[in-house]
Amino acid sequence: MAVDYSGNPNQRTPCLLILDASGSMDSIGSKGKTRIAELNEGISTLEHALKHDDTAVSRVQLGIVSVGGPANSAEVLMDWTDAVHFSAFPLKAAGTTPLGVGIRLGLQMIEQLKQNLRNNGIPYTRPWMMIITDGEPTDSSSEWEAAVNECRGAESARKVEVYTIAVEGANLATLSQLSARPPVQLDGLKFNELFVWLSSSLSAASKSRPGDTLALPPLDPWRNVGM
Amino acid sequence: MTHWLHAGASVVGQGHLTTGTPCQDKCHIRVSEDGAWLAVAVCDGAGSAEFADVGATITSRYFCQELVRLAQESETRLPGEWINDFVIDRVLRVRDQLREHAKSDDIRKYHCTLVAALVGPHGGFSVHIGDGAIVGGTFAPPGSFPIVELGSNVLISKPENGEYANETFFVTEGAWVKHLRISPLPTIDWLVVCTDGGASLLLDNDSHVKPGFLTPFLEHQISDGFTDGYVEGVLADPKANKLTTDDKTIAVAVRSKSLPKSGVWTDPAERATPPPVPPAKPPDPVLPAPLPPTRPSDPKNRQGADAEIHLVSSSTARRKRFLSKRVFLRALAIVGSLLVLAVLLMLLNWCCRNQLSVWWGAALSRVRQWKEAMKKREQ
Repeated sequence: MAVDYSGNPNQRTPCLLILDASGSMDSIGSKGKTRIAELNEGISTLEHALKHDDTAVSRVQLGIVSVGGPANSAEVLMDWTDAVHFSAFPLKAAGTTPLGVGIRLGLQMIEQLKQNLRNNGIPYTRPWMMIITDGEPTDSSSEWEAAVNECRGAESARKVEVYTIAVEGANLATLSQLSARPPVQLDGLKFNELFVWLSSSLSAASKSRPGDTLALPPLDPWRNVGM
Repeated sequence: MTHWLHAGASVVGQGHLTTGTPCQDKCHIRVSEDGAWLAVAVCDGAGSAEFADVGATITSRYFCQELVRLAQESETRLPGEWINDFVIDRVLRVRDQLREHAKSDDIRKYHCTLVAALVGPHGGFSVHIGDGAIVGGTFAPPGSFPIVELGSNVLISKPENGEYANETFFVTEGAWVKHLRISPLPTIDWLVVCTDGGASLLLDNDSHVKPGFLTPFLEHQISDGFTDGYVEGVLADPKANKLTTDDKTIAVAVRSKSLPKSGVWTDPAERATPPPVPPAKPPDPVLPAPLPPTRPSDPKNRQGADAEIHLVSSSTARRKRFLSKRVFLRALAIVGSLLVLAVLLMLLNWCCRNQLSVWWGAALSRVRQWKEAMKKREQ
């Protein structure tokens, strides 16, 4: 009787997207499409790229928090979903940018997921949190300060990897408060290239073994080097 | 003669083939000179460490050799804290060896885990820093299937990754002593030691052994022999590469005298049709009850004694009743002693030129004279 190789619940690489869906995302870009339309296309690209990666499709888990939008608040648009079951859906732009609230909501989601994975005996790599915004947070200063402290604290306690992406119009100085890793300026509205990079990076993270140095693909295809 | 059958192999992972990195898993197995003890050490070098394969080679080879030395010492010492001290001392010494190789105090380029065990006639212990796993247990009673009893206690030493799956602890890091785990082994019939790559095949989410892997893995080797080639084939299978792109190592050992005779464990395919039942053996003929034991010199019962002998010769049960083994041996010993004594006396008589016969003749004539004297007095 041959040995059985099947039946292994894979480890998870969680990634939470905090997406700015405020009114400014309705601005039209150089290609004649709105920022939110380009963002939505990018999310579709992410879905396609993940599902075509043998390792990422079974290991990456996605969650989406929208900031602003028709609800004009921070809300969970998509709870944690395995990449294999992920279906992209369009966001609508409206309202203000309660980014601080969204970040705290995201951090809470991440801790809840970790507890859930531990309870089910599923190993996981360090979760990612990617914040994409094109403007200034509209939270009160106390709310923003609390979010910054919580985000920095989680990062320095090695609870999460924080990546901040500044779409044209974003306040880089404000965003740089969130992480020791400096914010990266998106080149125009190259969301497709950004999400292809994100998919490859999550795939590399999901395959990484103890002692490996995580080698991420180059940022050049989507980074604005003029920042 | 060795008490242990064993095999082990390390296979480079697909991830390292892509980057041209050599296999950073290493495996060493040794059996003591008297064959009673088996030592195994496997190490997994860290992917990003430049000399991780060297670190894994030096550490696994050294630990395997030293565990055999400890086995020799444990023949004359009871188990105790000295074993912990021995292990700690050997970790310190291997770290010194790596510093010597590096020609530096910084040995981070040699980062590797350590999964090792020493097992003997009545148990042993495991030494573990980092991920990978040690699994072991006993065989099911002969005739049972499957052959191994996979209770929750077969996972002797779990992987330690910390919070994240892609992080672990190394022999070569500063805080190694916080992550050193030494666990006792019970008396086991089989043992499997693996790096985290091997554990991806053997364990289900790091806490349960997969029977679908382990049982056929052991059974195949018990019936076809323990060869490194078989283990290598299992690790290099394309299906294995779907579970992990990491280097993979598995070492397996089985106590040879615990193995049942061939043919006892049935193939599961054959269990659907039960084996043919052999024809029932005819019952033993009913024999008449034996006569009660009698004195053999009694002429009246001599015939009865003859009858007893006849019955004894026709049945083993009768022989046991009338002439037990112990009584028979004692009688034989007495007769033998008397014979030896008689032979010795004859020899002595011959040596003394028949002087004994002369004395015996003189004693007899004295007795005769005394009898005649008594008769005359009575008259």
